[in-house]
Amino acid sequence: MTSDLLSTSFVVSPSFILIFGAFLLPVVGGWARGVLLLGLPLLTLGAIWQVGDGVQLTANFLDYQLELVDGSNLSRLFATIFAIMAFAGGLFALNQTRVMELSAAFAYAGSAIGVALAGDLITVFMYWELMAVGSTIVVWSGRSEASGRAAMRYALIHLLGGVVLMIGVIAYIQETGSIDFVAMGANSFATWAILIGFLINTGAPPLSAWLPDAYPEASWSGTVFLSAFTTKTAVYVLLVGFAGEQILIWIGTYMIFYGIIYALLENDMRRILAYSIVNQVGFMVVGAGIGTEMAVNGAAAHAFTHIIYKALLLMSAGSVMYMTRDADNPGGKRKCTDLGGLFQSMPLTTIAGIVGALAISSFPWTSGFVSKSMTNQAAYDGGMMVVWFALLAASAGVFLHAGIKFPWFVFFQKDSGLRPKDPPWNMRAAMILFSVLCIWIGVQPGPLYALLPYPTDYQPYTSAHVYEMLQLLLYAGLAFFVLLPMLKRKLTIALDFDWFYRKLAVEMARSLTLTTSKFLGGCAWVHDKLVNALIDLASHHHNPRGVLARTTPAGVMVFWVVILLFAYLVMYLFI
Amino acid sequence: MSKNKKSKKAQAKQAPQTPKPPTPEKPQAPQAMPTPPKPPLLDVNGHPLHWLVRPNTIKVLWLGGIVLLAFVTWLGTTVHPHEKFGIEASLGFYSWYGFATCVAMVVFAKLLGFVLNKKDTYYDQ
Repeated sequence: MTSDLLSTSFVVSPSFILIFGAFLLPVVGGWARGVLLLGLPLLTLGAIWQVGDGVQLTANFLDYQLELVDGSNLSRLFATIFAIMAFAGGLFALNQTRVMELSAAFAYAGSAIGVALAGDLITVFMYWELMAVGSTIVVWSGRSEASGRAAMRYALIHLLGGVVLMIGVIAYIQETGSIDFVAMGANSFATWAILIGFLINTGAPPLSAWLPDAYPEASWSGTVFLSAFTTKTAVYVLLVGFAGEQILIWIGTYMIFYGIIYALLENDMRRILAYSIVNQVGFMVVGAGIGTEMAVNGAAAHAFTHIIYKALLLMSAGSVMYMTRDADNPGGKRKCTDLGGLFQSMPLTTIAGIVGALAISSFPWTSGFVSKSMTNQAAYDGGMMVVWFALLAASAGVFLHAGIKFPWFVFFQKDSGLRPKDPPWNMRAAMILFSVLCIWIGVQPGPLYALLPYPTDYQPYTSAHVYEMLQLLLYAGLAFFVLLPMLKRKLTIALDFDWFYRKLAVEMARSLTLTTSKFLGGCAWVHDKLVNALIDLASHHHNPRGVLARTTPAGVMVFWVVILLFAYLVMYLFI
Repeated sequence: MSKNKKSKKAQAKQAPQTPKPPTPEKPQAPQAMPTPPKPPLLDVNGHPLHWLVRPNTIKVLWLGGIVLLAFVTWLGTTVHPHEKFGIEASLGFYSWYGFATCVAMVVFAKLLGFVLNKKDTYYDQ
């Protein structure tokens, strides 16, 4: 196998460090595991920064030459943030005792890096499926009945996506004879299948519900990992393969408002944040759809900052869960109706939650402001009036559903009487790290802009831009507090597309089973009746006294023969 | 005649009134009677209410918020706005647009909730 490797500068892909390192985690314990949890992502990050432009590592597979590592600005940007996320996630999960979850999460992160560095469709597909396996195990590691079922539904959706993608890849190779993963555009059956396969992982309609269904069921640390990789690798492959595809603008716009509306209806704090992932990925999909250099830069920068602030928000939520575990809620409290007033005893977690909430809302001087505004600017520069007004409304809506709703209902609102402390040091350290990054990138966007795929001289901090955004967000805040009675939470969920396979399909299967069993019962009854009637008939004629079983004297036969002959004679003579 | 009646009525009204007894002089109050301190506001656990959620603080926060809203709206008028689509250059556009679209989204979500909301044990049944 080693002889098949035609490496120019790498012996192994940086993704292998995390994937194979993940298998070491269960066999070591104590401080050694901690070292691996923090060291492996840093080692991977160092390796990623050594990746130059172009193909760096190849391997032969069947008749194809796979490009395991193919560097570009875009791939390095995504791989870098995936490695940073794995490090912060590992730090946050240092006290997680479920080693299976940690191993799966690291293999999952390594696979995401593999996708980002892959140069051909077969490599993309293989890492894509590895991600599905790793993430399913992370969901399943929630170790509740609900997480087990959610993991199964999650696996089914992603296996479906994988099959569609595989069909697309095979058809594409048949059509073009090439396995190179390059810009393709949706213009044939093959590319449409590939696009659909990618979109399923972004949480695009109609299958968006897999995300808010599965992610919140993972453990307090598992959801932090889950929030980062699947959807953002999907954004990466859209940017590479389908930048400028018009339909993505409308799909992304739908995702943006879907996330806001459903998050407003939601009572579970982690489901609120899960819906807001769909919402935020919607902005990136719109950016991919616009496809200009500014838009692609915006989508890529937004993916980078989103991973940080979304993980921060989920760390904050995870800390609340971790510190509110009890016999009734072994996984911790998650419902807004059970929470409130926690700012009094969890100041650091509250501040981290607020920083994440401000960043997701694109508040000036936070990371979201310097990234998301590029997509809005691209729509504005392109004269896309409807899209620009929709993005503007959505920016206000993000502040409404995530920027205020999450911290308000979890840390303020009515006093639940709960007084949990801030979580252990490692969880606090992870939150501080990402809070600092949210603000640092917001104040100093230069280093992030330098990593973007296209050179940019974009200036986010113009007076007009800052004042406009402040007006938009603060008046959105006013709307929240004015309409607070309408936003009061109840013990409800909002039905989504998953109703079709969680309820309707189940009811139909149950009804079909019932109908089939009734039909089969009816058939059995008719069968019994028929068989009995046949037996009765046979028995009637063939029993010892039956007409067909009786012995008849020879004289009777002679008598009837005479009668027949006589009848024949009469007919012969007279007819 | 009528004047006499009125005067009689007036006398009748005045008749039951007994002269007020001379008001006894109030005893000298002690010079500095300390007013009893207000009982502290308590939270659900019976502890003193956190300063951030006291009614006075909330009033101040509302007041400060309104001033801030007015301030940022004024700030918007001090810069030259973008004018590509026209309406975004109108006075206070970002203020009313942010408010109005949020109201629309909340109302839409509320209406959708009447159709889609189910008990959170819906799928467990």
